[in-house]
Amino acid sequence: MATNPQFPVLLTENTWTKIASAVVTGTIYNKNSGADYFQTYRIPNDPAPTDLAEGVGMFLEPQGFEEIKSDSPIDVYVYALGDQGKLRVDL
Amino acid sequence: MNNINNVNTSQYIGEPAIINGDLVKHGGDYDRVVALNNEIIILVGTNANYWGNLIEPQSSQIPGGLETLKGRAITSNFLKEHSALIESLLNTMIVNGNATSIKAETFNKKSDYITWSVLITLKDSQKYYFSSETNSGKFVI
Repeated sequence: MATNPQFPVLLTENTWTKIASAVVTGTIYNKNSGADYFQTYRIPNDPAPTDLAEGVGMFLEPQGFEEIKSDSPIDVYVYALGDQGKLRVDL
Repeated sequence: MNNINNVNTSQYIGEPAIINGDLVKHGGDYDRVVALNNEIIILVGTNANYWGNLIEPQSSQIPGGLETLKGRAITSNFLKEHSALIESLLNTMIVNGNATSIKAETFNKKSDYITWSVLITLKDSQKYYFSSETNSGKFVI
């Protein structure tokens, strides 16, 4: 069943924030290009990430969105650097 | 590209010396941050692919390590190549024993403009994040 977009999803700078729980698909839109974003994921209920070095860069290209695709449910985490993060998340 | 080993970085007023890639500490973290920023800028360059105006007068700027990518079209492959080159240029910090890992990302947030960042894990496990957008860095978790 369709759900409305989650907006704004605000991220405190310099910390990992869970932006989706137990999902297999979704789309993440960048609504504040002043921040650099990094993503990682966890099996649901596993401890949250703590190390930025684990993150992979997001929104590297001008299209400004990233797709979530997973065979099994995952928790998705995003880290914002340089500014507060602001996302729209469609699940 | 000019050989950075021929450049005496200690001549710049107000900036700590960088000797063989060492992280120079002058009694506080601020100086250490400045030294790290300088090391990154010296090895890699700035947004304009030149040494930053922070440490070098524009009239005598020396091309940085990104010079070899100047003029290339911005494609997905270019972004990967750009990041790999930054990691390669900064690898000297690992060789010198000052860092244990280097992870670079190149962002093309606007069609004709790129920025890059690098996350450096230092030998003491602290993590330092540098962004070309501001030509500055900071310690992060």
